[in-house]
Amino acid sequence: MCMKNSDDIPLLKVESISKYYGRRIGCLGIEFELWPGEALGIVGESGSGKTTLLNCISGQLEPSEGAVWYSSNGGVIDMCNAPEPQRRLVMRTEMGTVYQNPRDGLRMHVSAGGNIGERLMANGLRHYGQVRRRALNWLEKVEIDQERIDDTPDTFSGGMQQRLQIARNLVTRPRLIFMDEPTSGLDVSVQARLLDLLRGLVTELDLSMVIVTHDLAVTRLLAHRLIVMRGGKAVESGLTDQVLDDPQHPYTQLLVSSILQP
Amino acid sequence: MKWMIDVDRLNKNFFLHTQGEAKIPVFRDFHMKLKPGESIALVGPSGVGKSTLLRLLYGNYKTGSGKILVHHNGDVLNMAGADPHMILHIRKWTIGYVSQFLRVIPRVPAIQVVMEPLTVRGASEKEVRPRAEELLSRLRIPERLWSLSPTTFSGGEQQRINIARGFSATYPVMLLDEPTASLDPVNSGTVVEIIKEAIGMGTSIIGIFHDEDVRNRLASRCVEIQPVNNHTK
Amino acid sequence: MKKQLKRQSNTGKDRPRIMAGYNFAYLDEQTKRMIRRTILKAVAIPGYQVPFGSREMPLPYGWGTGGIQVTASLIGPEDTLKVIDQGADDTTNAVSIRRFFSRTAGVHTTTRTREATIIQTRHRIPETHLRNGQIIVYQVPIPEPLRFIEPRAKEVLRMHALKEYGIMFVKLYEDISRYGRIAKAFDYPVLVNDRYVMSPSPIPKFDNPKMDCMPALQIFGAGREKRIYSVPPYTKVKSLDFEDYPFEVERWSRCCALCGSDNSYLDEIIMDDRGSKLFVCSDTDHCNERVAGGYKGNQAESIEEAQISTGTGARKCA
Ligand SMILES: Nc1ncnc2c1ncn2[C@@H]1O[C@H](COP(=O)(O)OP(=O)(O)OP(=O)(O)O)[C@@H](O)[C@H]1O
Ligand SMILES: Nc1ncnc2c1ncn2[C@@H]1O[C@H](COP(=O)(O)OP(=O)(O)O)[C@@H](O)[C@H]1O
Ligand SMILES: [Mg+2]
Ligand SMILES: [Mg+2]
Ligand SMILES: [Zn+2]
Repeated sequence: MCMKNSDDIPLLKVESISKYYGRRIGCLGIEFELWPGEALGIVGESGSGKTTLLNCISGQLEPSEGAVWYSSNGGVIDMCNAPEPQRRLVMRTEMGTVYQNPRDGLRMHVSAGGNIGERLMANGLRHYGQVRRRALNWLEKVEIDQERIDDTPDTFSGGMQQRLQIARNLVTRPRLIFMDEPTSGLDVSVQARLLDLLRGLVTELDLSMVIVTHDLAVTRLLAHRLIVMRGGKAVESGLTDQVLDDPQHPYTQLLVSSILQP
Repeated sequence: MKWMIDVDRLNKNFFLHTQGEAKIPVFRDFHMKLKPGESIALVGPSGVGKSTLLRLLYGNYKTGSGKILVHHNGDVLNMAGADPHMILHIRKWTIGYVSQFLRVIPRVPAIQVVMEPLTVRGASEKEVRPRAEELLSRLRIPERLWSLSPTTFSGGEQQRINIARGFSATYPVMLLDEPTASLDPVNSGTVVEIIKEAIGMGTSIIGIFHDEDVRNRLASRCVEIQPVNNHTK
Repeated sequence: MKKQLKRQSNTGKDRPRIMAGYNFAYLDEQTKRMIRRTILKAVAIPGYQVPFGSREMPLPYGWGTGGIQVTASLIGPEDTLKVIDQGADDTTNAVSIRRFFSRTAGVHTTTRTREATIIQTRHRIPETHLRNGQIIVYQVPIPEPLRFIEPRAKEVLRMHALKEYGIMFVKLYEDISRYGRIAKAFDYPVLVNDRYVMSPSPIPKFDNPKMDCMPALQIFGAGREKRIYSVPPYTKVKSLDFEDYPFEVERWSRCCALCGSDNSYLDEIIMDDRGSKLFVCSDTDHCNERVAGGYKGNQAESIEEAQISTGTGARKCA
């Protein structure tokens, strides 16, 4: 055990990202750094720009202003201006996205095994037996009965679909994962199980994560740091426990006081 | 190194924006130093700001103004206004904190809760398990509970898990918020022993100890926190 | 226009006459130039689908309008054309396309693979090895191999552009997990020149190996979908597969009942109401040539006499 120096470089550096939809503001001047192994929560009311921000930093939406620097295995790249092949390669090997709606993140008519195997095969694995073994292994990891490997996700429950999305993304061992409300629309007990699973995987794989949620308890459990958004702006940001225990902005105080026990 | 922590002209107010903009002043130009090997007991009436000070030192509360300087990894860093990433690093290696209550995480077994401060430093569970088991045994947590989540444990059991967790790793500085509060005398004695061992290994301590006997056995000096309104000097 | 027509038109001695009122090979020169430019581009980027302004042809889509436009743009008065449909020269489709070019371009036509300079085909590659200098034109109904699995056309384009073909293997994976093998028997996807995944049109996978390093130029035309693509001579064409489930072609335990060939693609024909079956070469020219050369299958007589043998005993090859 040794105290690693903390001045190695951040995994993600977001510089003053803004996105305008015509004259409407999607998000405005957001900046933060994300370090290896760190989880960042983005909270805020509906329409506050959480998804917009997430899409901008995950390379799925081009921001109107600002820059996103990602330090990939092959060096730092400018996610907004990198050539598309390079960006997509990084996105499918080093990053992953879990969508709020499983339909956006899964191929509903492809078996669970095929869904998990897709990234492996996209990255060049050409051995059916190995694809299958790793799919089985991941089904187990995300607590889906291995016998369901040949079933399509449209026969799965909401919680299983989300867990399948997670497996599909994590199978290539990405370093950074984006999640947009991964637990909304699930029963409380199913939510808890999913969060628990995520927490374990994040530590086990040393994942970094950006998670959008409106549930402060989720951020308490998963996020090291928090950004509170309102009207497209970050009204407050900092360590999760600091933001939740000693909120500064009136809006954050309102958020925190309106829940029972964050 | 003349000090481990140097609190300089610390100010802290709470503003309750949702409750008629109430302002609660807690510290005004407060200062104190923690020297290496020292064990300070914070004293003062309830509500005066003892826990608030520990939380400020831990980066859990946001400093209004002033400095909280910490020796960390060969550098002097200011906890007030430090980047969250840096605060996490300081918490991982330099400052430990035992809160008044354990914040339980659903479905995580007690033994894992105890090992976590070591595993986040990169050690394997296998390496650190003996230390966790030793602490749990000494604190009289029955072995059958080790693999269960502390969610359903009694207040005293939870507090002992909290202490085991706090002392599984060693830190240069430990912040203790009433570590023996809800414990019986026997367990309380064990906790005092564990703290003494840490002091013996070079940990400096700032603590809140309600029990006078405990305080006398552990503290090398007391720092009295004054209510802000009467605060002179 | 008149002059050009004259130059291009029938000066040969015994060629069929061009029907009055049509431009050479039906299409106007402008269109043919446009299609030739498309073909050049397709040859330059093996396996890449080049869009083109497909024209209305005097027959409905699905009848090989893409192939016909390609042929019309390539053919010259000196060419000899062969047209096959599923290997046969004598089906309605093949016959009418042959007649179409014979009337509009006045070219020689043939059923002999060796004699043809251009072979237009629907769903087969002849058994006879094609040589350098020949051109084979495939009629393609659906040119996009990724479409069935990724319906968003824009995303499909991007996948080709970035060589992101994981999804293609997902399809093969699904086959194996469902049927224990790659079930696709026709239109089996290939990787051309290590770059583009390409649909070979609905030929049996039996024909896939023939595409690899073929000395002849291969051109694919999809009329309805307005795409032309190509495999230039001697280009690498690899059928997609897994290391542990390698690509394999179908094999028959029998030989052609007519010519005894044991290595050609066989069609199954039902001989009577009781369901008796016979297996014969799908490539009629190949079969005829062998028979003419003295090869014989063990059912040759019985077929000639239209007498059906129902015997199922082991068949020996000639
Ligand atoms: N494609 C778009 N075109 C126009 N406006 C958009 C578009 N996408 C989002 N917006 C607007 O931008 C703002 C932020 O939207 P965004 O989807 O980021 O919100 P959100 O915080 O994710 O909300 P929710 O919690 O409801 O998912 C909203 O005012 C929204 O109406
Ligand atoms: N998170 C908080 N938000 C607002 N006020 C707080 C917060 N934490 C503590 N306070 C207030 O600060 C003062 C000091 O509290 P505390 O530090 O808990 O006292 P103690 O000395 O008893 O440990 C009290 O008035 C308390 O109500
Ligand atoms: Mg959203
Ligand atoms: Mg207190
Ligand atoms: Zn034959």
